Amino acid sequence: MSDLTKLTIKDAHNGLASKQFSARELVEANLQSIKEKDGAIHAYLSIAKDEALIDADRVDQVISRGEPIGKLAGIPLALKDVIFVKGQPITAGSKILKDYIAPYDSSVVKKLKSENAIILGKTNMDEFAMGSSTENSAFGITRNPHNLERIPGGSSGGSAAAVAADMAIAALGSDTGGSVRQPAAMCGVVGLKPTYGAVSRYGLVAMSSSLDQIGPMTKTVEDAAILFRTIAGHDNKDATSNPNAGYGDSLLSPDFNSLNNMTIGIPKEYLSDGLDPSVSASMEEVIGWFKSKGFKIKEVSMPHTKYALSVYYIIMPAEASTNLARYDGIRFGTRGEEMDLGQLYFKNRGEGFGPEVKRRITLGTFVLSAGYYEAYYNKAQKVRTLVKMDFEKVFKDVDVLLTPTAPTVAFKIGEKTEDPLQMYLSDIFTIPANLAGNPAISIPVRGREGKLPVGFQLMGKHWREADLLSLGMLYELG
Amino acid sequence: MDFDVKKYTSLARLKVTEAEEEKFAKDLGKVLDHVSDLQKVDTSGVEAMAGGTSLKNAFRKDIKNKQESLTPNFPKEEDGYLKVPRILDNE
Repeated sequence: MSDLTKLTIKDAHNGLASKQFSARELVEANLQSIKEKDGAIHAYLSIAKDEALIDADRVDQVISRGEPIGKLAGIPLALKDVIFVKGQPITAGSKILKDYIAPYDSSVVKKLKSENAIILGKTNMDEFAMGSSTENSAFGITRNPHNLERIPGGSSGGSAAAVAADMAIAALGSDTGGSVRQPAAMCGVVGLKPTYGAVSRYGLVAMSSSLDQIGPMTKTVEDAAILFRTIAGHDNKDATSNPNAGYGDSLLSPDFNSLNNMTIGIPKEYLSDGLDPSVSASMEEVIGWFKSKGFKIKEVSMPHTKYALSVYYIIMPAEASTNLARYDGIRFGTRGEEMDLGQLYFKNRGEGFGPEVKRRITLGTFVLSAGYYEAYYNKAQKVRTLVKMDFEKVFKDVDVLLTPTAPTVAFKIGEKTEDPLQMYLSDIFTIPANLAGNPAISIPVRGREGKLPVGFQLMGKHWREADLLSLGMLYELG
Repeated sequence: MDFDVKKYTSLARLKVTEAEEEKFAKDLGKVLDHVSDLQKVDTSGVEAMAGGTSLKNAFRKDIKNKQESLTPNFPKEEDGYLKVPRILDNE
């Protein structure tokens, strides 16, 4: 039998349904792969081996009874350690949640479980999703499977590495400013950030609530469509989830002929300075490919793009400092010896949070403080509107936007840890879609075997994930 | 720009070391210099945007739901009650 860990969701499903192998064999193969490789990579923070095998046996029973199974039944998945799975640890990469056990299932996990998907374990990440390299985890770094001296991207670096190293068939991450797409690009996998409001965040550890979305990280675009179709949809436990977003099965089997009339926009601001030569060469190739397929390519301008990073580094820390106020040592963490309440807050938060989290809480507290609120926070909210209007304007002329996902390939471990601003710049192309709420996908550029992966990004209109997925599937067909 | 780290770490109830304080002042000074470019943008007449989309929040009805037990995660409990530090004096 060929290596089961290399299968896509689709192929694994076909293999299970036609009884070429069992769900137990599929799960065991992935657990074995973790055992062999994860010592060097460290993608996982915790493994739910026993539960995974029990769940696999349950799927095998269904198959042996001759009953049909769903597309995700028996498929082993890895989840970023910000997503609640009842009874399993949830650390968010932070010491302050070291011993925390999720008391309920997040809404996405409920949906995965109802499809009988298998949860292998929880993956490493930058603490509270704050970072672009997975070097900010309190539990050690994750290495890029393509080159162990390099970062896997972040903050969903563990999920990206797990999929890239065949230690899970697919994974979920969360994306606030690029945390699904940037590590997907660095590790050579597909990463989708859905439209804001498409996927419920109930049971997701909150970082920046006006930006966070959960998204799939997969080996193929088609797999991303399968996983997205399952986790999307309204949830009355998340007030920001859209009651009217309808995502049908057409996501999974697009009509490629209908794509012919699409126009692809190339925003010139994304191809300017600072691009790694291998990234700009890859972009030319990808643009050339779409042109050769008969797509109209149109250069467009989104003049407020250059302000997106500044807007983000005001709004995100402001929201994060608010969200993380709950980690006060009273409800979470280890209380330690009895002391005065004020001291207790300082001590627990001071010892529980790592440097990047403290840095962002400090920045967020500053931009929200009396005297600075207008000049920083309110100003950023207004410029955010202008960034969003750029999107609205170009989407009158084009159907999707094509850009690089990140300005560079995966950088070396330790290269940017001393200079946070340099680290922040690696999300420069992914942040605008979060600010504007639009869906965006990172897809690996083909033909880079043996080289460090490069991803290209497609951004679409609100609720039009179908455009990104169908174009991506077409690219994958070659 | 110069950044008074201590003032904001105090507001946020964060204990930081002297080394962290120095590093944060340097790092955040750089970040604040970078974000100062926003001051150049003309935003007169532009509405502030508060969410990822222009959708309205869709609230569910506020009805009682069965809650999962939180006590296993709570740092201190006594007889099924959550124990918190005293915040008021006896007087």
